[in-house]
Amino acid sequence: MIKAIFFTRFHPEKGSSVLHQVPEGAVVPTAQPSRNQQPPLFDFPSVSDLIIPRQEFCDRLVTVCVNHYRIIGNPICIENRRYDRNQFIFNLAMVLDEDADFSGHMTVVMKIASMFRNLEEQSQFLSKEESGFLWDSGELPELPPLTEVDDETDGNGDDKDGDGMTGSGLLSHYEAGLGGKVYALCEMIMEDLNNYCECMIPIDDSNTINLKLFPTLPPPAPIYAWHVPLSTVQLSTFTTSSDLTLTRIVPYIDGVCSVAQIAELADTDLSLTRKAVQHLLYYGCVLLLDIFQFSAIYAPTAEIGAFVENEDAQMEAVRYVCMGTYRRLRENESGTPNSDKWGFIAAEVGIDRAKLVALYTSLKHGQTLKHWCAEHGMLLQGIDVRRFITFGIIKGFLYRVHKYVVANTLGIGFGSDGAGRHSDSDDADPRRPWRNSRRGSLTGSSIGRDLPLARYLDGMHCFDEICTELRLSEKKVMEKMKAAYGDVQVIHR
Amino acid sequence: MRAQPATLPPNPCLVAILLVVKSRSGPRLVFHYPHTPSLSSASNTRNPNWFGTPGNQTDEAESGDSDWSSGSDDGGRTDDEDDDEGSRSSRAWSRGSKISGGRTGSRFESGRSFGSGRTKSSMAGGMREELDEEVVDGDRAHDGEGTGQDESKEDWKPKEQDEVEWERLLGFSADALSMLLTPGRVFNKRRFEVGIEQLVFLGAPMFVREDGEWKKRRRKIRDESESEDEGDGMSEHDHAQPPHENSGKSKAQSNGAKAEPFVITEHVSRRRGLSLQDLEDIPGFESAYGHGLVSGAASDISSEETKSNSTTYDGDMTMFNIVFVLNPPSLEHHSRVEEMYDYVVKRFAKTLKYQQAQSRYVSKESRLIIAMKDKAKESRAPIYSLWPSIVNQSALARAMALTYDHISNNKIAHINLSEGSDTSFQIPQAISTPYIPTPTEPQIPGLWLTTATLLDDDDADTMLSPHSALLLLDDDAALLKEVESDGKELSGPLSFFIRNLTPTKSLQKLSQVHSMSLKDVQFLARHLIYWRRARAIPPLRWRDIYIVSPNADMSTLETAIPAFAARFPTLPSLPKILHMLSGPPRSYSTLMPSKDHRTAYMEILAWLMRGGWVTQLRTFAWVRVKPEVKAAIAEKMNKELNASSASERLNGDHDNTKSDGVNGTGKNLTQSNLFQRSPEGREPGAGDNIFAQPSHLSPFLSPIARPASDAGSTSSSRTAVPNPSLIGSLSPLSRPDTSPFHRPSPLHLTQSASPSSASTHSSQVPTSPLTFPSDNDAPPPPPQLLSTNPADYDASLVDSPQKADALQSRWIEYIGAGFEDEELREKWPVLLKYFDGRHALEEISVREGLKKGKVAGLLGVLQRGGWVVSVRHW
Repeated sequence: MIKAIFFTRFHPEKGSSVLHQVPEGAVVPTAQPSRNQQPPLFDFPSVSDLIIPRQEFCDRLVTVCVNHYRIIGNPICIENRRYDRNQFIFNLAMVLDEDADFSGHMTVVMKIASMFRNLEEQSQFLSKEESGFLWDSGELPELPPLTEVDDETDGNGDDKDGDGMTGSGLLSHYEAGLGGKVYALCEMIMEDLNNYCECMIPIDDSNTINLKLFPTLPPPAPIYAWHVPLSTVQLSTFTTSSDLTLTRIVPYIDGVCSVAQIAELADTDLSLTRKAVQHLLYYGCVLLLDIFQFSAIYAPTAEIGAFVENEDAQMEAVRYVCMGTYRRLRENESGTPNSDKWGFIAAEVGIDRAKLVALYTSLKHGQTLKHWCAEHGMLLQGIDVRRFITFGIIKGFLYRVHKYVVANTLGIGFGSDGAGRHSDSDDADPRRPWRNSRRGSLTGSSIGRDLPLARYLDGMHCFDEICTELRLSEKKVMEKMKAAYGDVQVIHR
Repeated sequence: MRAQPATLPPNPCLVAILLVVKSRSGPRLVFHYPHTPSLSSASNTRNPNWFGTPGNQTDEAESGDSDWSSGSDDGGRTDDEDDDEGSRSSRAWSRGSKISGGRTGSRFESGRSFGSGRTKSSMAGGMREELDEEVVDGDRAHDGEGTGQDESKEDWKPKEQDEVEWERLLGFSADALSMLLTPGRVFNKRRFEVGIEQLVFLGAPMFVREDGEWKKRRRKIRDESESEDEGDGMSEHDHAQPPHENSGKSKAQSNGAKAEPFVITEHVSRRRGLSLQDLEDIPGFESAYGHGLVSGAASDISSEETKSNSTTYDGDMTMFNIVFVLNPPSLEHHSRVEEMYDYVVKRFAKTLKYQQAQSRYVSKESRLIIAMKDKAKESRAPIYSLWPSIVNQSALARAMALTYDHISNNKIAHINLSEGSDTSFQIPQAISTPYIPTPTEPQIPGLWLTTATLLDDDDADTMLSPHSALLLLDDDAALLKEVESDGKELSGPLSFFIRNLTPTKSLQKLSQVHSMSLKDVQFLARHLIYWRRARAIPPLRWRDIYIVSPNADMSTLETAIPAFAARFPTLPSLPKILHMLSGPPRSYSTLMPSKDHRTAYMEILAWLMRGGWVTQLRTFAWVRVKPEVKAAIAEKMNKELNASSASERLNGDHDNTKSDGVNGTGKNLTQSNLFQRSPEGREPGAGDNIFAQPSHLSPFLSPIARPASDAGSTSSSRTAVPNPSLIGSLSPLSRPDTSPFHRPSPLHLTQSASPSSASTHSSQVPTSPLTFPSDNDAPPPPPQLLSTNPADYDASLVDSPQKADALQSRWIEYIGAGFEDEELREKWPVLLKYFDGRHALEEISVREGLKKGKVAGLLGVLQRGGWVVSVRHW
């Protein structure tokens, strides 16, 4: 939220002066304060040296914190012989709360500054406006000849008090108020940015100010082939994207397929696919999951406590994981009385929250999902296990316990690709863990061919990764590793 | 401050430290360190390696990684803006660096080749006042055979943008910087933050008082210097500097003496003399604090005297500003700046001000440094030889250098401003996190994963529970050596403590065994923790369960395996041990081949714990209320209802409204309890230390992550387990009213219990006082009498027994009374408070002084009987 915008000029004789301020009186008190005028946000004279700094600091973004406000400005110094002392120095600054996020505003301020510089260089946009009352006037500015308004001449109070050179603030409000264009710009920019986070203001035939406050988002995490994207928005509404890869992969982002699979199904390049998913991730349109497998291990995280205590989250879980129930239909449902009809009722919820909590808390380390299902088969009635797990992963109260392999013998797997070169040319295994035989055959990428297994033995590569890259099943990989290196240790973490 | 779901790694973003003073003759940049600050430390805080396996992908790694390493704020800019800004900033920076441009090749060499002997030769050089860069460069080139002996000591890093002159740094002239960094009095003792492009200048200006004094007269010194007190609590007595510093000092002194004999000896003697005098001054000062005039006069005299001595720099100092230049990533701007200000800048400035008030310390040191600089300017000494000699001559410059070196390396800066005054600064580091790393939110690898550090309400005042144990983070032999060589007052007790320390015993037990007072033990423990040599953990026990930490830093495995093998040669290898800890949760003792191995295996555990390889799997539980209990209580309530208000029952409406009221309040109560109770509800305030109190806010339960919509995930019957045999026995699940399920569900855990949601909720089940929020699925019992059939109720959990409402309390009470085991009945209220999902059950025995076996037995009964639901996490 922008608190104020003000335009400052360095006057060769009067020092730093605030020519325009929005809202009035936000930076320097106005000559004729209105009744409910707030005091200025900060003491301008004490920071005027920082807002109009020495020439060395001009043409840079300069921010100052004072009185719990942050002033973001970009002082500009234009050197030209047409100006007094051959210099024209100005700064259009924004005032924000000190602890507010200001990264977006910095680029906006920089853009405005360069825009104003260009305008001034092209057409003396700024200097023309004030030439009437700044340049031609001496200590006591007279009526601005260029303007029509002539009833306000009492604005020279600031000049009388003798500290013109130290820059004690406003060239009187009315003087400045005449220079309508820049003032109006400040007003419009502040209003539009605060309300719409963007603005488009035409200045003249050839210039328009286009501004937008972009939120700063952290850079997206890298996407790997074994990540499973799950959309959080209806991606199908974005199908008009100009990104061809994105358009192609969107139908396959279903929370089940890994990136490698998506690339294969959509017939896109894997690295482009990863990049496209990264774009989606940057804008928060997808989450990343792991490849769901019944041979995987899932365990609760510390967040489970929050889940147990949050009824709404449990209700949501119930909605998400239930597939409906298959049961004997009641008379009014089956239509025919006294018939022993069974049916599947999709909308019905077959479990209660306590049961769900019990199920979630019974997941544990060292037990694969397969075994867990066998153990709790009775309770899993009506539950989609994949959704059951996925929900926990999404909410963060479950985590996938990944499987890693470490060579027991030193030297293997640690930066020594040569150690025990092992050919994996027979990797055309159609029974890859995630591979559905109905889906199309391999496109001819050469992922994982001729890689020595040794590089996976440093404990940095989870089995999802190894299997995806080698296109082998977990079992097969394990067999090969054992055959090649004998003593390998499996670590779950 | 925004909530940071992932713990930020330590990153001081420190570029330089500047000291600026202002006197009658104007502002002046007295000293900056390092001599040529580098702008290149663009800080990328999250190492891409944390995300798993970068760079070794078979396909192009760039697709994933290049984006990651690019700047953090360029996501939303338009192209022309990018260009514009790029050219602008490069123009701006090149202005400063152009003098060194084109000589990059030789710079590294010259940066490294400064030595002791060159000062003389360059002094003997020309007579020019203003140094031309070319000339100096030539000088350096001629003196390329310098010994470079200072390099190891001072750790100069040759920087990208070496400036040859000290009048220019960071692309600005020292003059301009000193103007910029000496603001008006409005900033006195306030935070002074100025950003220029990506640099942040952060200071705490200190001004002389109007009366020319540096402190209020009628105030006790103690009040003025709170910051020293806390630092000095532990380190008051270590006058001696760390050994390397002493040697460095003496070396440099001889060094300097060789180079400029006159100046140095003069300065040294003057400094010595003054500091002696200061020492004499201080007692008088202190004793006279009741009589301001005396003290004022005394210090005035000393300053007068020094003024007369000084020829190059006169005029009273009116303010000084110690400025830290940071280069924070824009996303972390606020937190980085804040922590630097709170923990270092403010304290440094306060300490200096105290010294200034005591002995005109800053003015004197400034004069000394400026004199040296002016002298060197005349003699055209290169910065590479001047800076080390300044650092060696001036205690203040040394303190700045030390602070820079240590803080920018995330270490503790222990500085010694003058005799008898030393203090230390550090930016606290995260010691643990409750969050696991995810593909999108990595954690600092190897960070201890636990919730044990999160809450200890009853120990909050001491910050160190007597029930916790102390885990040394260094080898105890090395630590002992260091402590004993220190020879300080504390070293005796410390070395005794370290020798007898074991992470398997709690502090309380340690104090009993070694007949030390608990306070002493805690003091020593805190000392070790403050200096980052130890960490408080729950005591390691062979009975407890440990797993491989999901946050273990696997990339260090390569070095850890041999280290482990060297440490435990006869025992299984590290991978083997980690493999054994990968299975289903078992007590650690099952790993041990025999009882004789217990000591060795506990040492292994401590080693693993220290490296963040393992974490303890702790058990958390909630009370489970069975349907039978609810039915029984319902029956009781029915009876009470019958007995008390037989007449009232005639009026059904009245009863309805009454029960409605009960219901509503009960619900509101529980909801509000839930939210009061949970630390999740505590938003991290502006003042909250993000490291000390990581907010529980889940990154996934925030509104951004709105995943459970069916948008992306297809419900598949493939992954469901069909179980036809059960279908017949399903109870009638026929609540057609599914509207609550379609209520927009607040994903945010911290969402406060809005009364409206509570009321809509209860309005759907209006008539039953027993329709507790958690049994929505039960069919509504008849309005007047509560159902006594257990089948009408579902089991539910009581999440915080301490805050249970009336009905929950009755359930709990009923459960407690129903135990057959006498002991269990007796202990139920004691155990109950641990069944809130926040306290680990492992703590019960220690905290309640019960036998471990007994507690385990009782808990076993409860778990088998289905009275509690338990879950294991860290």
